[in-house]
Amino acid sequence: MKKAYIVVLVLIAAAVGIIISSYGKFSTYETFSSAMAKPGSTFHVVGRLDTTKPQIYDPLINANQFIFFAKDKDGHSHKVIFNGTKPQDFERAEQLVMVGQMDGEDFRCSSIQMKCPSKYEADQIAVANDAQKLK
Amino acid sequence: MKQQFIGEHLLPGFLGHLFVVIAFVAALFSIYAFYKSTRAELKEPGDARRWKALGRIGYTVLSLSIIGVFIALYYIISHHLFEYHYAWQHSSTGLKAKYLLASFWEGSEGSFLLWIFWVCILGLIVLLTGRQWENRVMVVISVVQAILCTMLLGIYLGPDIHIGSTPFDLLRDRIQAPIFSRPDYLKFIKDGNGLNPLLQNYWMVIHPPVLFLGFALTTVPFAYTIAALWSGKYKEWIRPTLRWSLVTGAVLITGISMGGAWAYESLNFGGYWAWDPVENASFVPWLVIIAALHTLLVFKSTGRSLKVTVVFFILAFLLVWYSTFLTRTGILGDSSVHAFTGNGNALYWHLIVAIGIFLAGSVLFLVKRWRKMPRVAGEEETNTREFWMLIGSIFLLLAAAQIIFYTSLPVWAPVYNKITGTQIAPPEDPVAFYNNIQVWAAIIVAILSGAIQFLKYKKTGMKVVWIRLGLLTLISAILTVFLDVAQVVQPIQLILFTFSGIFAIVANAYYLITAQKGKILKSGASVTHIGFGLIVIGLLLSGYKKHVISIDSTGATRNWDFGKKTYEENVKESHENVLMFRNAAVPMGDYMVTYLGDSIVQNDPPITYFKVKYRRLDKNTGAVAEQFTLYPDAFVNPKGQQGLSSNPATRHYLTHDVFSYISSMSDPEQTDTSAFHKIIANKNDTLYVSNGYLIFRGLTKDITNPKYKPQAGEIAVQIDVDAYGIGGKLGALHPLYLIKGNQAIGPDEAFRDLGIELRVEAIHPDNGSIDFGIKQRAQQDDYIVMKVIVFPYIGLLWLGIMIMVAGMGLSFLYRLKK
Repeated sequence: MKKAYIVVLVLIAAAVGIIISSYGKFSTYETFSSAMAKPGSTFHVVGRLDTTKPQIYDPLINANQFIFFAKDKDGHSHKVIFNGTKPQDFERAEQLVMVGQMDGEDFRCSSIQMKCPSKYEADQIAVANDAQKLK
Repeated sequence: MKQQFIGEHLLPGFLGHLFVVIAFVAALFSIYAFYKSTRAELKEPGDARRWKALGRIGYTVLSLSIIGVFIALYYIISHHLFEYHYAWQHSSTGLKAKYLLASFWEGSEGSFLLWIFWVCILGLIVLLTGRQWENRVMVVISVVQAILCTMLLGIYLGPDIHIGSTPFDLLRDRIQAPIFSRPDYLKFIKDGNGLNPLLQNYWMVIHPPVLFLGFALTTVPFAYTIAALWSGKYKEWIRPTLRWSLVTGAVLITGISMGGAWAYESLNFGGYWAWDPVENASFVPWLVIIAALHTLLVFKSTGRSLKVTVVFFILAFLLVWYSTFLTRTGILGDSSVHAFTGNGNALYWHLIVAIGIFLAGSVLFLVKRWRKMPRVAGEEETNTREFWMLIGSIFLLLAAAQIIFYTSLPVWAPVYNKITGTQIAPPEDPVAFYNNIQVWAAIIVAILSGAIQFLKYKKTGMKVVWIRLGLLTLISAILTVFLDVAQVVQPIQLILFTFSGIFAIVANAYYLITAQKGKILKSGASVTHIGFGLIVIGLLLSGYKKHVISIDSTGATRNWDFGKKTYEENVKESHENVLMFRNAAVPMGDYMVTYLGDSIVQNDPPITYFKVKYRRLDKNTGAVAEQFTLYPDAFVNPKGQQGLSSNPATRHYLTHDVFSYISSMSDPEQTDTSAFHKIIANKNDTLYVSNGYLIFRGLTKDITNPKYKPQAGEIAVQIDVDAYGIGGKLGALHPLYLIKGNQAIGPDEAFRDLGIELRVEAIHPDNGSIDFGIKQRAQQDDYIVMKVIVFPYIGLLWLGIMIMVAGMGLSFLYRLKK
């Protein structure tokens, strides 16, 4: 067999290796209750703001904490504790994608992506932890 | 009877739409004429000439029409003709003239138009320089143009089914509202939506044209490649394709880097590259173009790697279209910050059909010609330049494949869901996810870029090469140890990453000096690779050593365990914003940072500048070693939205950048707990406030206060007051006192630098004294929340990019002369 073919095969093997090794790194979309079944793992939860319950953001107490309630697709409302400042135009978001994990009944959230029916046609993203590192 | 409307300007829209249709027809005509010309080439040279002339006319008409469309749309936007949906949606009367172009290409239609415009220009260049290639290349370019033009046709086949979308749609046709039943509805539409404040930035004026020129440029090497398959003249194909692909590579990376610079400089994403799907989608075609460029060089020198090169060029072009599909149809949904959402199903299927046509056409040519493509008997030796260049190119392709595969996750997630039953989501930390894999591709490519040039095409005496490479490796390893010890770089892949960057710089510099004897015109490749090495080092230091210095230590105990190893890491993870009251200094890294106040500039929408002073104290003496002021700004509650849309301010040093932005602030309306109190002052008296003082300079009837609007029977007096802060004079206030009959009022005059409001409550003509009412916002009511990040050696990254682009430019000039 040609050397070039051997090298190409090795490269393909490397590619397959990359795909397999990155398999476990992906998150999944869950609801609050299915996320509760697996505490300690991080998930994406899609939901919307529960407008019947209060929102708390007071920079005088903690500039990095924003608390609100969100309803998931099953309609269950849970407290969400977001480690970051309150995102712009938060109330207008028609959908929230929250990344984080359950801690008892509460959802500890590290990033929120908002889908706005906005006239600007731009999705907003709010990330508490955007430390970009080459680890 | 048809409803008549008052005040509409229908002509520019009619002309614009007409020009789109003419352009489309002209493109179809060009395809036909250039095709006929190729058919007649051998048998009827006269006919071929005539058809070619017709094709040229067709293409010129197409180009002129597109310029007509461009002018029509620009006219509509710049004259604020809000009867057009596009102008209404993307611009407003208060928009500064320099941002009119930005609103031009904010929308999907405008950016398609930009793309078509660039292809027009490039096609005209091919008409001038194409010679024997002109007919075939122009057939392909005209096909691309025809398909691009359909994007703007805007033919409605039903309420939701349409082919293309025209920017000349009227507002009353796009939006259903009762107001449009009035003939004079335009009287009520005073202003447009305006440009997204985040996009009101000079980068938005220059970044899209460069990026779209890059996208448009991929068309030309693609067209030459198809033309080569068509004619079978692969040898003659090399020269023009090499030139065009060098320009494509240089322009595309310039456009992508401008996006990175914009993100870094003006958006608070906290960096220049976030592996966002939109960034990835433009980066992947570039990687493939660069791979194609290298294998083309292999083909030029050895006759090998032809098939790979052809496939790469086709792939790069298709990837540009695929990236358009990803970013404009909304399919990425919630995984991207950028978005052209809301174009709906029509564009989705339109792009699928377009990509299908290009793909089918390319595959057809490939299949027909595959067996006949020339190949060199025997296999490459491993001690040759061509072998390793091919390997390097394949690694570039693998890197591209990894990025595009995972960027496309929302595309294949439904299929994955059907098979496995799991709803897969993007990785929690996409930046780390991509970095961890791409770092290896970068290491390999950087090392190869330094080493390969010491090999020769076809056969190399390896003895000398090993000695040289050994020496260069040694030097690079020593430098790596120095750098990594000094900068405390620990992970193994980052040490290798450092080495690869240094090796690329050292080896290419060595080659530049010894082999090319510093002949600058011949040294394009070496210069480009030195730039690449600098980029690697810049990425390492600015990315890995980036750190937040605005660490909030006060609320830390409240914090939840993020599962990090140490307490400090936990705090860092979630407490990277600091609350700062006006005039209270807060320690951040080496600096004492003080928020001094804000001021508003009445743009559209109004923008607030926050004055933040940094002082670095000498660690031994405690004296101020250095001080500077930054003005991060933000749109506060812009256009009825809630919250802040902020832009960072950065202090640049040779060794690092200090980058800061406002993440929250006190609500200017709600938290005011202070009240006016009275002070009586004579001329030249001083009024003290908590962080400065005012001096009453006198009164005058010459009103300069811009808020004053004269009214009949009213007497106005202006009081001149100078304001001073700790550092000297800050400005002047001119409160008014308005007397009408036996009524007198003194409106509030704000001076935000001191956080005060001043008004005149009474004037005593007998002794010239004045009763002032003054209030100052309580300090606890005036605060900001700020994030500050230090990026070390980010200048190396920008320098590296510039050198890399310059290197490609050198190569282009060299190839042009040859």
